[in-house]
Amino acid sequence: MIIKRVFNKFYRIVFYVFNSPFYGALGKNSVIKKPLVISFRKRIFIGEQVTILPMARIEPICHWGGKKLMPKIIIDDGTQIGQGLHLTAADRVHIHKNVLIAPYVYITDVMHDYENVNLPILSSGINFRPTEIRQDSHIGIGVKIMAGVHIGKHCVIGANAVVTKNIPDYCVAAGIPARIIKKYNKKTEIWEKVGN
Amino acid sequence: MRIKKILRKFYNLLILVQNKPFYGAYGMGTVIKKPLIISPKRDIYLGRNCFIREFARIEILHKWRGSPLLRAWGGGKIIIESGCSFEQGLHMTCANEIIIHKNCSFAPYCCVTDIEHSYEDITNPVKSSPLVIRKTEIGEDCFFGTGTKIVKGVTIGKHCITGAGSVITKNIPDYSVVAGCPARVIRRYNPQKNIWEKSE
Repeated sequence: MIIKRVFNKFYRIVFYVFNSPFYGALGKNSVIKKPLVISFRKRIFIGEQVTILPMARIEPICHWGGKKLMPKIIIDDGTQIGQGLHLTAADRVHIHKNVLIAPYVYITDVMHDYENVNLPILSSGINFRPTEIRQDSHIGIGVKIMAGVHIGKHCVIGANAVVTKNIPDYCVAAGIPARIIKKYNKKTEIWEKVGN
Repeated sequence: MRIKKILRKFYNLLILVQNKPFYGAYGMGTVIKKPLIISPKRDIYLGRNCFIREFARIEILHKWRGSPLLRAWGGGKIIIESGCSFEQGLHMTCANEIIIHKNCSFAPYCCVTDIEHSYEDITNPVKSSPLVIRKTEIGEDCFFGTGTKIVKGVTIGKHCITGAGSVITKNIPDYSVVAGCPARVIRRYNPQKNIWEKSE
């Protein structure tokens, strides 16, 4: 166990040394293990103690349809992310401190336009709204978080949910599209069910 | 940046040379990046400028539990026309025919299939019971959101959009937006007024 720990620490130091010049910001003890695609690393800002497991695809979109964009991906301290993360940003995606993200989660702030029926969707434009996940939240396995969504503090999103609308602080949400199923009551200090 | 572009072109050409003899058809400019499984390659027909990202699993069944499947259609076949793009983690299984028309694009972790395991016989485990097979077809210019699952026997029209995580179990008409599990039509294009209308 000690060897493993030492190796882990060493791996993180090596990762920091070799990668920090290329990122917009990279905190100490952070690591991204064997990613699929990471492009435009200058637009990615990662805090301390962040772990991202293999197969992650993190893509800031800097050019679309001949226009230049200034995207920003911010992952704050202490966030843990499982394998197969897919994160695309054309404007701003902000993941706050100590968020726990399960495997195969998809987070984006981009939507493809489809209104023009004469164009294939890949060659029509995109529209984007910033996405945010506040601190201490937990995102379940296979969750999709769509453009313009703000998830509040200490929220839990159930497995396979598709989050299309904002979710306030201290809530449990699940389903397609995600509905709030539980809420924290500050007076009674319990998690109450929300009737449908 | 220019060097990167040239390198990428070269890499794509290498993939093309590597793959072309083995596929049923393999158009110019098509790229398949590190797939998990693609078998058998001779029954897969790819058009020009297709792009398939990592971890694709494309499988065509010719036998099931020792007995060959009905071959009335001349074997399983996957046809992908020009300009289609598939992101990572595509899963495609086929026993009859899957046709994907021009310029479709698939977000990550999509699944397209034309088979289903039958469960009616309670003495057999589902794993070894016969398959239900029906053709799947996808029209031009469609866009499939993250984690869309398309099951057997579905025909999807032109220029359709599916929301993230939707499971498509029924046919979808041209120019519509669908979402949910099972997927429902939530928006349709009105050609007279030239607008997209909400539908109940």
